[in-house]
Amino acid sequence: MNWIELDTWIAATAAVTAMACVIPGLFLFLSRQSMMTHGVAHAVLPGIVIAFLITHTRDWTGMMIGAVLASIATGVLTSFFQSFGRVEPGAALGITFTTMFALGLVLLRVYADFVHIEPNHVLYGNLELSVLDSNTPPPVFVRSLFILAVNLVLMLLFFKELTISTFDPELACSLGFKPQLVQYGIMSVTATTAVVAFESVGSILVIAMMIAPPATAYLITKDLKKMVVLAFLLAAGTAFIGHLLSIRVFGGITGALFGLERIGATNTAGGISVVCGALFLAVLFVKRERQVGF
Amino acid sequence: MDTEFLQRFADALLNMSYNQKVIYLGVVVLGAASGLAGTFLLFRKRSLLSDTVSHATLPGIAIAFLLLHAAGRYEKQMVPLMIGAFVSAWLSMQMVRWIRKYSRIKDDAALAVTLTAFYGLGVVLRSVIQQTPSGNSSGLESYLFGMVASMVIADAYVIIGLALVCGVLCLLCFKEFSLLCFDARFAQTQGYPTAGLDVAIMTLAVSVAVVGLQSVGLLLIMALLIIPAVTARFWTNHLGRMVLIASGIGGVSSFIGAVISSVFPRVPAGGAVILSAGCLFLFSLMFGRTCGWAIVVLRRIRLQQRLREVQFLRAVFDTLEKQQQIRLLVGYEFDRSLARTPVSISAVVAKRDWTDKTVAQAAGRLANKQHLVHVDASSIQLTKAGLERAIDCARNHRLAELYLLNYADVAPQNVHQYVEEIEEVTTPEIAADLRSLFHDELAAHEIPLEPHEVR
Amino acid sequence: MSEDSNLPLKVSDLTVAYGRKPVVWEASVEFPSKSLAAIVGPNGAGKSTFLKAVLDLVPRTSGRIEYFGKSYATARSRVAYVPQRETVDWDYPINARDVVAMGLYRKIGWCRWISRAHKQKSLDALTRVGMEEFAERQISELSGGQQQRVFLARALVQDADLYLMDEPFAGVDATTEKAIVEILQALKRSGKTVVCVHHDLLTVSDYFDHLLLLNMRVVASGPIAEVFNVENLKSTYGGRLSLLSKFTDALANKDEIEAGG
Repeated sequence: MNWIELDTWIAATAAVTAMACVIPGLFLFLSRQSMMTHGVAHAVLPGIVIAFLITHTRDWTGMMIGAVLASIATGVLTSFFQSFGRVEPGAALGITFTTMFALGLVLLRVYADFVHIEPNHVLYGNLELSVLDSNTPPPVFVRSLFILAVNLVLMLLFFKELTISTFDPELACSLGFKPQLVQYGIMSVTATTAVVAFESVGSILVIAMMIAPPATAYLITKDLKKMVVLAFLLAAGTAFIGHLLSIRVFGGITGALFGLERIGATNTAGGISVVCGALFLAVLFVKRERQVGF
Repeated sequence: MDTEFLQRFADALLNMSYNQKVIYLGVVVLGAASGLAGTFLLFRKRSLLSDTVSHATLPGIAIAFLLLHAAGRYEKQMVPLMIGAFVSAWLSMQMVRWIRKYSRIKDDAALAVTLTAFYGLGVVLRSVIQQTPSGNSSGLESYLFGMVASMVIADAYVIIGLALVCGVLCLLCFKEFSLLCFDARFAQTQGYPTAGLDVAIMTLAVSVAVVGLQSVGLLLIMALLIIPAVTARFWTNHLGRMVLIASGIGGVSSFIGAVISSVFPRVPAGGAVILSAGCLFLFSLMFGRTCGWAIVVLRRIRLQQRLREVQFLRAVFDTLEKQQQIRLLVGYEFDRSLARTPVSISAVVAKRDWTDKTVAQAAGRLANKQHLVHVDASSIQLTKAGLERAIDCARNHRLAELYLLNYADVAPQNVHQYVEEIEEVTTPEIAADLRSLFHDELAAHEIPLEPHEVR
Repeated sequence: MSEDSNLPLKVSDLTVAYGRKPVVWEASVEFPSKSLAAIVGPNGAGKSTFLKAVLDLVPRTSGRIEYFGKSYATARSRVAYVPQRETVDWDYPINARDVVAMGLYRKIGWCRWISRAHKQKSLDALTRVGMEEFAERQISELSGGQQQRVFLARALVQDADLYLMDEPFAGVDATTEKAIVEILQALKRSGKTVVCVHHDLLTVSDYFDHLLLLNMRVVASGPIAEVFNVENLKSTYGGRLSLLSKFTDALANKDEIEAGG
């Protein structure tokens, strides 16, 4: 298949979304809470559904508020289970987000007549369809650009606070900063970014983009600022490469492997995730260093 | 409306066909197996690994489906798909280990990157499958959300068989697994292949995840591996019992979920199962036996009650002591024969800020334990056992006060308050320690004098 | 000006408990101005907890803390803290100079960026600890002693009047130890007060001039010449206090005892 103008919009939307995702992802990665991205991406579902049931429209403000509240609930519950029930951090997160996701799923199915959210759509995203709009640039692209701008401004404003809270929360505390507040801030941003990204790229790419580019950049450089820039470049680069491979290569390869004919373009979000993962593994292979104790 | 629901519940529970029974049994056994594997995973601090491996089954399923398709087999077949799922989930687990072994990337990021890489591949392959002629009837969707209803009896047999294998493996290696969970370094020095055991535990989890896809779906199977294990911790501190309880919770929540899903067709089975497991977790967080909220409160109340009893007994003792009028400079032998005289409650309570109610409650409880008898409305009398306990309490209390004054330099005005805190926790062992520390003093006199003025 | 306002740190009746387990018992102690003080005691004596409680990092059960006669919140800018090295992730992608600059963050304030002047200040602090050539080095590439010096520089850059340090000599080489001692003494000469948790009894009297002997409670405190003697050390490290820790263990396990009994 050939690259047409639509493909440029698809890849550009993916790239912008990916860069927006990198910002909260990077700091969750640095504070060793990468799986929180996955947790928040799932846990926002009941928030969105309930917001939908209250407003009865696909109103963005309502959905955003629902998502942010759900993500904060995730954070509060996770730390409550940790401190009060003495539950191990990973398990506490696991319990919280799976239960919330299950709740969202059940609500979604029970009120399927009122809530027009297709779970498959949320999971896999449908970039190809979402940019199909008479307007140019497509609204989904504009929304992604908006959230990228918001995240960028927040990061530039609070870079110092984000660094100190993720590196040395104790010092941050003794200097009078509020690491807990910063943590909830990061989670709220994760939630809003995830909601915007669901519509275009689906939940799977949200997690891929939040963690894979920062992790890859972390292997390459040991300087935080270079890491941020590199993660941006990787996010944007993989978006274009991933889409290109999705429309030109992946279908053909699988077709050839499994004896299928006429396999067209494959899912772009999935393709980008694969490229992200492959790039990470390649860099890791080159930069590998044996760790002690394993 | 209500009767209609009840009717449907009754139908779901009572009028089951043989096939349905087998399928329910399969679901329950699966829940039990996941509780089992999840407990070990929890103690290896790898709960979220279940998240990654369950997502990583998708490309395996898709590849198996495409291979079957290429071989001309178009109907849905469970066993090959499960083998595919198992292989890719197992590879993902190895990838996590590999990332940890060769980079400074920590567990959380290794899990996240692996998850997305595998799941992304699965999504790509899924979009290929949708373009094949048989793609839409592939039944792949049921792997995402879980469809108990669409299970056939053969599926249930496979689940039961595999779950049993997992259970037997756990029983055989229980000793080794628990050693690894408790102290991996020690296990290594004992010559156990710790890496191998680690892989075995994770393989166990992978197997359960693969088997569970059919009923709960890959998005939620990890919850079955996490929630029952954590919930069980609220009921016991013993690993063996924990494994049993976790299995029970897994089984019960799977059953409840399956029934709900069959009564309300709109409710997806996976969601119902996890929500019931989540409810059991919340219930345990509140009412669990080891550290649930209610039990902590209840214990605090009981402790308070016992403290009041002890304080009351000591107050009675002080009063008796005064009546004997032998407050000398040193300790003394207590005359037990004189002590069994009635004491008026108002004398006991004097100088203490107790309400009438707490006094009445404490006296009532002591009467129930036959430590005292009510002579009349305003006075009480200690029984023989009560007297001994009162003497014991008073002695321990004074020894503790002496200790703090002489050895811990606690200010005299604070001694009383600290000892009040300490005294109820004075175990027989600590009491013995105190007695041997003040051996000389006690050799001369059975009960030391109050080392500070009574407030 | 009251007399207290010259006293860098005054702790009254400090009690700290983890859960139900008291770790520090009603400690009352004063650290005089321009002193170089050590907190010494056996393992588990609550030395680090004492420091953390003083800094509001762990909740206090009771007690009042005064810095220069004021509360911590108001006197924060005059106090610098050097935590134990293990508390942070040394794989974090950041270089030595940026770690030092963190000491300035509060002065810079929320939302504002680090300026060139701030960077220069951080470099100067690194120079004072002899680490200027490692300024651009990523922190995981530093040795244990160098990491400790970076932490010290981070405290120096805060330009505080009171420095609280948790085991600054733990796991450092002999040269670094000497260098750190020199810095501490220079601080003292310039009128600052330093309080260190210390674990080496052999060097206490060489390095410090003021001493707090702590074993869950304050055994003794005062000028080193008066306090550092065999009798005090015996009661700090001796066995009689072991029963006290049994009491606190029992307090912590109250629930279990109650459940079993």
